Amino acid sequence: MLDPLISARAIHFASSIMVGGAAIFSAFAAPSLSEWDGVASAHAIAGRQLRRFLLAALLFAVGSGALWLVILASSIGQSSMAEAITDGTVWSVFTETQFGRVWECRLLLAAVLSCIVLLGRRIRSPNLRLLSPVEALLAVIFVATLAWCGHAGAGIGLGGKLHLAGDALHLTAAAAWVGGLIPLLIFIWPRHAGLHSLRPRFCVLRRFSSLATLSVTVLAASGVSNTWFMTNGMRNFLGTEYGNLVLVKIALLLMMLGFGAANRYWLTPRLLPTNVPTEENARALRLLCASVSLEIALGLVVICVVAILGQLPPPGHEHHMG
Amino acid sequence: VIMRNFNIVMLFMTTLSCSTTAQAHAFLDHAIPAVGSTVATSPGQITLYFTQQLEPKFSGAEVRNASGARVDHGKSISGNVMRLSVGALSPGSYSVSWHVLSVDTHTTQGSFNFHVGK
Repeated sequence: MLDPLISARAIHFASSIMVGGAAIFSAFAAPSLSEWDGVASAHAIAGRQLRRFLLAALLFAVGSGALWLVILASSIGQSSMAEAITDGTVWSVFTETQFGRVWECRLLLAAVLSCIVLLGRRIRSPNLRLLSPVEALLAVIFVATLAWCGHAGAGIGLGGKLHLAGDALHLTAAAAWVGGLIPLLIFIWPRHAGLHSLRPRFCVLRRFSSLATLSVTVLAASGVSNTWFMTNGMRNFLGTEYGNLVLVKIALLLMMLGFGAANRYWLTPRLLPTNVPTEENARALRLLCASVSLEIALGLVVICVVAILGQLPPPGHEHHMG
Repeated sequence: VIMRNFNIVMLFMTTLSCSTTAQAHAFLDHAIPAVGSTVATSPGQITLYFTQQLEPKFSGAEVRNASGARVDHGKSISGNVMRLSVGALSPGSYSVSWHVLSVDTHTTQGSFNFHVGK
């Protein structure tokens, strides 16, 4: 059956990761004006696309976050969602819990970011990056602060702080890789409205590939740290529902890595700029788009697994029920 | 086009997120008086230590004597510690029933007994 709380969490995680992904992609992978063969209009079209994507992701993040809040309040108050709104439980959760206070900050961030993105399109010079550093910074904070809404936000002492820092890093790295895949697909899409040559696509793919490699390293290190804290130093990892789901997540990530490696070492070199694009170039580009699409699909399944993991009790703690 | 693709992606993801949940995260680590223990004199207050930080608004406990009457007079919660004032307890058995919301938004409940007197 469909669990509304997990669904809301999954949509919120995915859209938040895409907010951060769009920003990090803009800062580290998106083409500069010179790479568009000096075509400012193509650069402007790409900027508009990325900003629309960012705004859409923000809209989904705020909507799913509000839904998450209402479902959570109804679960805490053991009442219907309508009752939770009318009897003040939603307001209490919003104003009197850590989850609510973090949400207030993130809602404010989303509002400020939306305003800057909407206003920025009128004042931005074509020589600037597609998104400004302020926009990128706010988007990364938006995704990293999700760490306070999960297991990592409830830890105690130094271990709790380390767990929290590791989780915030994990979310940021996930945004850089998984969240950047849709912007990547937008830029390499063969029928991109403002893009007719392979050169900018090649440059974007190479930079994104390096960014993804760094992200995977950070993801692996912070993932081990998170699992360590959640499974009592790995003592309660194997044979638990939590541990099994982490193994599923790792298997999915390895599949994504396989696609990423194929993109980097097999397909991207076949885009090497030539004066006249050949049929081999075009075929490699189509395969790249298919491969990135599959990576996105796998990434979304991983996010669903993460949404379920967040609802499971930490293994090894159940026996302390008193 | 981007919005339409994004909607399709979100719909796909929602369809995938099907599961049942086990919501239980803040567990009782230990208590004073200890779970199942016997203390010679009335403790004055019951202190419960949990494995995670608690939300005071949505967490609480009741202390009842053997005849089922409540004997606690108030609670205070700080971090992962809940304190219950009980005053002077007469010799006998007492039960403590607690329900908490951890700051990662999961509810748990449980109970234990202790005994005052020889």
